[in-house]
Amino acid sequence: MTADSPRRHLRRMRRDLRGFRVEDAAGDLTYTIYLVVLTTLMYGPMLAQALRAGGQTMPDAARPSVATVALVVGGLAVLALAFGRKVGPLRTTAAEVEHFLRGQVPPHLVLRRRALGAAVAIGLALAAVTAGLGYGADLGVARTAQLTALAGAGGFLVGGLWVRVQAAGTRGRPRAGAGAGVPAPTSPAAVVAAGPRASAGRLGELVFLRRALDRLDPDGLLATLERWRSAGRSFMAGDARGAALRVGDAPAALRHRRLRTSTRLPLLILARDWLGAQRARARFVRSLVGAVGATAVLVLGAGPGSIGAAAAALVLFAATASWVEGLAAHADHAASGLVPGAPGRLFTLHLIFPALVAASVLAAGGALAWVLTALGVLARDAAVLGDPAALDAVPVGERLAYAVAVVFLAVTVRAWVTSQSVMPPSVLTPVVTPVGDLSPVVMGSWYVRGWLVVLGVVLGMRWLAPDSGAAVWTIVAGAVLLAVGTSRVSNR
Amino acid sequence: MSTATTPPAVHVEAATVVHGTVQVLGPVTVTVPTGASLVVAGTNGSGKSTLLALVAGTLLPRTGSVETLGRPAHETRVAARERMSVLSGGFGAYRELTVRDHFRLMSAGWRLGAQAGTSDDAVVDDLLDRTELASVGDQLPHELSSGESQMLSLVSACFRPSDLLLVDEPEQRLDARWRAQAVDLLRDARASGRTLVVATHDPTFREALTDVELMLEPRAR
Repeated sequence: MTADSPRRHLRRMRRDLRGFRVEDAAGDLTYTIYLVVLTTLMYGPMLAQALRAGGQTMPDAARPSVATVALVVGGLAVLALAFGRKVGPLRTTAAEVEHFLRGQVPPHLVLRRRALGAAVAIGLALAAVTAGLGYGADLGVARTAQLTALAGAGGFLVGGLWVRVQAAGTRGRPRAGAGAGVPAPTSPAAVVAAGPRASAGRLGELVFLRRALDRLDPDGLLATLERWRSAGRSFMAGDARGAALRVGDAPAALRHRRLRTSTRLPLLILARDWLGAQRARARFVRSLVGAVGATAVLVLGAGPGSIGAAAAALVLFAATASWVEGLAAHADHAASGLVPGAPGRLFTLHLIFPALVAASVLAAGGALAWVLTALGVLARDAAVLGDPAALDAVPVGERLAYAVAVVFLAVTVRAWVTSQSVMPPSVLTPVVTPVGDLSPVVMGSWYVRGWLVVLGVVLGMRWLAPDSGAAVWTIVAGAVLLAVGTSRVSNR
Repeated sequence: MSTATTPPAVHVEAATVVHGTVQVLGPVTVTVPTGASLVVAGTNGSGKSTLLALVAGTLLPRTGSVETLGRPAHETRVAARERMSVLSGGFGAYRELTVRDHFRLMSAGWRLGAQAGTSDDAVVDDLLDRTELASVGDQLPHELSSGESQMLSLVSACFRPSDLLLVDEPEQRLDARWRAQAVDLLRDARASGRTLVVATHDPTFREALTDVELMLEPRAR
């Protein structure tokens, strides 16, 4: 009797395990396919029609340039990698971990198809985005094809990195039995030194991340996936904060730094929020960098309604998420009585910290814009920042006021979103239309309501108040109305 | 000479709660004088937590009435929130604050150090030692075991000043040593003049804390 090779063992076990799959899994798969097909059939034509209509009315100045295409595709690639740190394409199950990944079979045999699939999928996705943007920008067939091929190849490499980043995040000790057969290559030089035939095999191993996969900790991988499944369940149940807390990094820095106490409640709450930001410092610093950059873009002249202003406003809104942790925690457990005071008052006190951070960001952003202008580093791109001739006519004071208004808007909208992190049941009410039930759209909109409001207000200025002065007052008035509504909710 | 009588801390009069077509509580009538403790006992599903929610003012009765601290419970919840401390279904901790930070925040916020004529640090150190939480003082909430989390919740509910303390199953997930600590904490709270409403399955808590006892009947299954 001969022992099974790891590959044969894997094939035989997979075949046997198929017979033990629970019926629910088949039901889940059927439902998922049904949901995807139905959603595509229902919303696909609507989206296509909207894109066509948008494309016809889009002014030439707003069409993306090659630089913008590269920026968008590069940004998507970076996002994929950042996402890979949290969770990547290597999905597994408890049964697979139990039967294959705890040493019986080298992990790269089990996971390499998934790794390769992820690399191909990322390559295709980035190629598709590039082709679409190239077509929209009217770059010509040859140029678009070149860029698409480049993005596809780059995407394939990014996909490989995506897998590697995820594997690195769950790295354990090399398993007994892992890497049976050809020793894993450690460097490109080792691949070349091994001779042509062996080199081909070893190059394949290097590309398909054999070493990274074999060092992966399957229990860590499973725990990460369980965390995301749990977050998904919270998300589907309408608990936005619960979902965010499950996937977010738990704060752990500076635990020995003591909370500075004060008998004055505003100072005490401010100290609490400042300590909270310090303990989640990586996230806080990232938010500051993004916000200062976005503010600089606004001060430099991304005027009302421009794409640059919209992008800057969205970055600012994203950044504010890490400034309002205290506010979010208070909104979750206002009744726990850690400190005295009515919920509305405590809600307001938790706004002091984000307000101070916003003021600091405005000062730093203004200073950065001044330095960039003085150095002549930043070239004004009409597609991104607006019409250069029009920009020169806008006084610096107005641009500063516009930046202040957008920052104020971002913080106010964040406070509004934070004041209610659980979806109200009314959002789930069916919305019957001639094209079907639109309640999933309402539900999706509820989750991204903050993004929609910020984007809507900033882009809406193109038509509502095209000059900076009017835009400032319109944005401030809208934000004040929102703040009044939020204060009513926070007092309940 | 004034003969004005102090209203009871809690008065529940023929209160019922109905979810859909199922009556989950009642009718219940009970009165708790100020400074006394009510122990609510009964099988799972008999309505203990529902009664606590009524007294906390987070739930309205279908019929009957519930008054706490001299006014309808749902009004007390808003108007006199600071006089009521509630532990029901977990504790809303700040995830970036350690156990010690939480107590420092409470001590400073409620001015406990100033009232005791000492520093907040001294108050917190004493509390951590008394409740045997000193070993986890520098841990964050998500790093605590379930028993440690429960103890943090209970100590926090008892630590902050209040006139009425509502506690739902304080014995949950606690070992024998900490259960004894929990009984002591609640007994101390009652000795300091607070009114207690405690829902429990544990005979030790019933024995140690009962001034008024309410045994809820099991719901027909």
